[in-house]
Amino acid sequence: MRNLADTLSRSEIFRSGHALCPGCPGGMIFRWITKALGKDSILSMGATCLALPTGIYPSSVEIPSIYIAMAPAPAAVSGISAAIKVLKRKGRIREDRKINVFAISGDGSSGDIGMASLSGAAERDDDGIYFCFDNEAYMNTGIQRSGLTPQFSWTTSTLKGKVEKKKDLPRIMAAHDIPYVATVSVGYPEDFISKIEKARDMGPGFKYFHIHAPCPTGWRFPESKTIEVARLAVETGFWTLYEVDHGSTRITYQPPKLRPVMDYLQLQGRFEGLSDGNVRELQRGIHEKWEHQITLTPE
Amino acid sequence: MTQSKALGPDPLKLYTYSDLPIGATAIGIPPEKRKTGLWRYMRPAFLERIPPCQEGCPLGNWIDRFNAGVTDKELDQAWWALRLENPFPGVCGRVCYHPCQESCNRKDMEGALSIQAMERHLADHFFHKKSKPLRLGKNQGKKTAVVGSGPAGLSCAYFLALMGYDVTVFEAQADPGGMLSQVIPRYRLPKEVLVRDLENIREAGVEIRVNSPIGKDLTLGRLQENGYQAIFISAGAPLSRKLSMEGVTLDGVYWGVEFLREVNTGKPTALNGDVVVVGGGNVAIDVALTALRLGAGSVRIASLESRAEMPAHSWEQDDALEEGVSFHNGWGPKRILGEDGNVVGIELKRCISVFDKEGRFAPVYDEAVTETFKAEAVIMAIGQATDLSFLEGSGIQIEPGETIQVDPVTLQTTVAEIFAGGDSIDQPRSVSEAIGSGKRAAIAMDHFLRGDDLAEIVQKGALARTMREHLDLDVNPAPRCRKAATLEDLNLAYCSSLPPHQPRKLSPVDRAGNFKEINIGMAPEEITEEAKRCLSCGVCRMCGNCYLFCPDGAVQLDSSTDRYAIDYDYCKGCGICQNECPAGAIVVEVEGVG
Repeated sequence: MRNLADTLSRSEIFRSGHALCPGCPGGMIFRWITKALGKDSILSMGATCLALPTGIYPSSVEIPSIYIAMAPAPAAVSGISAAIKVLKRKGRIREDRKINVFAISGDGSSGDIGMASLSGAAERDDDGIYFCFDNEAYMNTGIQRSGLTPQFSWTTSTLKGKVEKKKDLPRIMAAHDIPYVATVSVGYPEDFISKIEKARDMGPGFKYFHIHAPCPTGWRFPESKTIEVARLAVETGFWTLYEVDHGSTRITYQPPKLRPVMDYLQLQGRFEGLSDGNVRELQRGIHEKWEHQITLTPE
Repeated sequence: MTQSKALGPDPLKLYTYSDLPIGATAIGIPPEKRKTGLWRYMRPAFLERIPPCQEGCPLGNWIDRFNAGVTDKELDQAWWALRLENPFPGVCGRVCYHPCQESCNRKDMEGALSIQAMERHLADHFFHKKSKPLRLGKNQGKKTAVVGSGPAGLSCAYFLALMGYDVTVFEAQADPGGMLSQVIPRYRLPKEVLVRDLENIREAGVEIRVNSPIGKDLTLGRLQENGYQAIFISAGAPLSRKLSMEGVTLDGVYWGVEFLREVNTGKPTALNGDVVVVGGGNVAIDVALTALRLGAGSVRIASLESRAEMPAHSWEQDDALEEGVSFHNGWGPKRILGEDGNVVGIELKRCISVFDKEGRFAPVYDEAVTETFKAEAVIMAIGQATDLSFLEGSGIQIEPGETIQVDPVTLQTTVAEIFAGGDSIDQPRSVSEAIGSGKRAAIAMDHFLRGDDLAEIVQKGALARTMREHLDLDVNPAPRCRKAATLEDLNLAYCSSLPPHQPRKLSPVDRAGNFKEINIGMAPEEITEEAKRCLSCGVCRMCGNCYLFCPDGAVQLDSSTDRYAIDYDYCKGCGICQNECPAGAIVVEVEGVG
């Protein structure tokens, strides 16, 4: 039987031996992205969880990469793609050589600290793929709340649960009118990789990926449940898989029947203190979101 | 300095950017990696389990393997896996009561997988094709004999032949096949299907001698003198159980097994008018449907048991109902009424209870409540009996129930070199149980003939039940757990809800008055779709989830075996592979224990 594992490249550009936590979704997405984009790629790595554990000696990332502060990861994409353009013009790199420039940065870097530079790179439509690794808090520094932490979630800086709602970054990025915006989840590798391949094969322009990445350490669930939590986020409708391809929105995975949000919440320690009212509010939010998003889809 | 792959050519010798590979400015990737396996305190490991279907199958058929072959459209492989464990694919694909499907994990979801249809499809597909005979062991140079060519005998002979023994089957009748050729009605098992399976068995190296009864002229002792070092007895239960009752000697009273044998061997038996069948087993149903085909006006089945208690399988009862047979449950025969030596009716008495408190057969009647039916013929199908008179003086012990006394595991009789199976021993009387006993005996006989200590092997629990275990043919290098996979072992998130396909049947109108096969089977496309419903319980289907989801890239394809393997140098033991395995073929244990 041919399946995804057989169609992907078997070579590991992202090597074993990194220092990410056991069960970290970052290990998977790094492997998938590098397998899909190939060796002719340059990485701009923002200061995320993923940077230090994978970048320190002996590094796991077998492609040229720049380890950069939180805010300027998108700016590095702009710089690198501009450099490639110039080198091609000068004839120092073959004109037909396809070099993928991509950035990986966390939710805090993308949505809070680096929002301006991300928005700028998108507005200039610089060539590259930007991956926002959304584990819904500043995990690297010790699980502090970010603008993308969901409402009612525990973090070390919101001990009684976050009051504010999660910032909808993919929609902000879609509003920049860039060629491609996609939301993906580690629980759905087929969807994930087909979207990367789509972005890779597009013409030049800024492509934005928002990865829902459950963090066993920060979300307080057993490390074996990473994929299960990711899957339940989508099956309960808490997270939606869609793409905005040149302006047209399409939901790429429609759960057969939305499961109650409690299925998703009860697996995670960060939602332990939720009252019934909180759960109802989240459930209502999901219903509203789905009604809204389904009307967005012309189908 | 160690030159890295990523670095490419030596940068000092290059002068232009265009010569430089991307990444030339990097220092290069050091060859050593951090051994993150040291972090691990839980240890995942591949450990396949026994699929419940295989556990339920009396033969231990390699169902997951032939099913995978059908799914992948690699029918040759499927056919090989099927024939390795079953000498009668065509027969079992039709008449087996498919206990495999009863234990299917899909049963409680949308309905069990039609494993029997798969088996039949393979047999039909290869019906006109020449298949290379299997030969698994080299010639052993030892002679073995089998008494009786029914499913048990031929199964034992087939497996002995596969293992390289010379086998001769002695059959008393003119036709080989035992119950399969003589008793099972043709509308359930067409003759040509049986003949095709027999052909394959002969090609495996089995010699069948018909018209060679063991007893008067040729005794077991003579066989042993002639150099047969091990003998398997499968004389079956070829007789009907008799009942003494008023009127049983009248003209128009038939006995189930003998009645079916006469019909199958072509003796003209014409029926008309009303027929009453007494009995609640599968033979009673066979008799009833056969009577209809021979011209009976109406057929009633009178059984002691209620519909639910009847030993006949529910789908057989449904077939009978479809054809217009009526059931009279809770009635037993009191006497058969006759006039001028011919049957004119039957008087039934009410049966209050069939089984006693311990569940033994002990019917209690209310003689006062009776019912009388007009009948031109009465057919008694109240059970089968063995005929073991030929064993007199052989030293083989016979049980009180007229069955051969055997060791329940090795099927060895009280005479060391003689084994027995099928309907001759005390076990459920069905085709698949018979074939299974033949296989188990063949494996025990193999040990016996090699001079192994059977008792010790049994004590260690090392006696295999299937050929692939016995001959170590499983190509999967991962160890196999002896436990059957349950629904809890599977990750049902990867299982989509797929409705079952049902085999098509001849309409009752088209069945009337002929012996055409009732079951038509499934179309090839349906079979492939049906095969895809298999959950592959406990058996790795190479979906690649463990490989894709490993954050450490520690699960990789081993090119030497083409299977996934875990690299414990880097596995941190998160257990995602185990959690996400759809088939439940991975376990997680505490590191350092066991």
